[in-house]
Amino acid sequence: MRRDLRVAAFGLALGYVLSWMGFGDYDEVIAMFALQSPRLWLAFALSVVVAGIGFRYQHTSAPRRPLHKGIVPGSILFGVGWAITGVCPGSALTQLGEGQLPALVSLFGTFLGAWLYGVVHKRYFRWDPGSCAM
Amino acid sequence: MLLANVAEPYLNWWMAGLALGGLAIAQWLIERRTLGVSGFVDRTLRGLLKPRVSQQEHRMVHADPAELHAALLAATAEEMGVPVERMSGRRSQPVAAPALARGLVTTRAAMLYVAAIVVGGGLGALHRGSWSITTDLGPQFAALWGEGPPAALALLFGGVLVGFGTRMAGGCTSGHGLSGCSRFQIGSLVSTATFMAAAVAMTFLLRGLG
Repeated sequence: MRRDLRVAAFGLALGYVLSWMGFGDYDEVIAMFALQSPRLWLAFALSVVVAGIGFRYQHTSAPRRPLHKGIVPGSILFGVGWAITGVCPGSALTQLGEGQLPALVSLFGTFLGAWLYGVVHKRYFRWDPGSCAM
Repeated sequence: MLLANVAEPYLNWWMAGLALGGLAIAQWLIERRTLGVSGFVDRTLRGLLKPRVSQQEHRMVHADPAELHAALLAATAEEMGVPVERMSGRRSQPVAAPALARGLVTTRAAMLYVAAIVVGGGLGALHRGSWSITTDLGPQFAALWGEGPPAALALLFGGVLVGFGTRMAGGCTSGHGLSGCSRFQIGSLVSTATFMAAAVAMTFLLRGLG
């Protein structure tokens, strides 16, 4: 139970940070993708560098992320969907918390898409897609 | 120029970068788990669809490691058709069970995590004094997709692409983009370059058409 609450505390922090970054703001995200504002690009790049420094000093048993057949096609679909809705899975949840009701539709779509992928994968694909967080 | 570009209510680029990167490190140090969302969305979905499997999994993750090890050993012995005593040698220290349990998160925790992101977003908006119920994403979105049913259809379609694509790629902005790229994982680097490029291309395409 304590572990579960700790997990939840990190979710709380993530939602808070994403919101404060403006990641749940459609206009901010589109300004990023339209290359009109460097703010979120730089923020994202810096966060990768910061995390990278952390991981360097904490040599890790974290799961490896090899290439697999789903990487490129999956990422293209995700990128197109992100440009349409303005949300990735994390920021869709953030938007909902901010009171943006359209996020309900984006989230429903996200769950539906994840479910659909499960069905399609089982039926047609043979690779291991790994996981975002296990 | 870069600093002048700060959008007023939001963190500037370096504070945002430090906050998000710091959070990823903190989660690793405390939880031994890399930051990621789409996997938890998927876990939540499976938890909602199959609550009984989640309960079994919950018991396993919270089981006593030695007990879990003994159970795994017994099941293996039975499967192989050998007496369980023959299975216990020098190498049968209970290593499998703790390794299994470490870093694993129950479906209930995954659901809590997903819900907590929503609450965290709400707290963020309250903190900025901008919490309000809105039913549209603003004029820019409306210019591209209209309002009402057409807008909802676009969000639904785009959302399906996000859900399908992230599961197919095995990660999203956080899992591949942040946690994977910062560890130079090849799959994550390719994934991140691809989804960012696709998003930029799609945005330019939409603007060109609209």
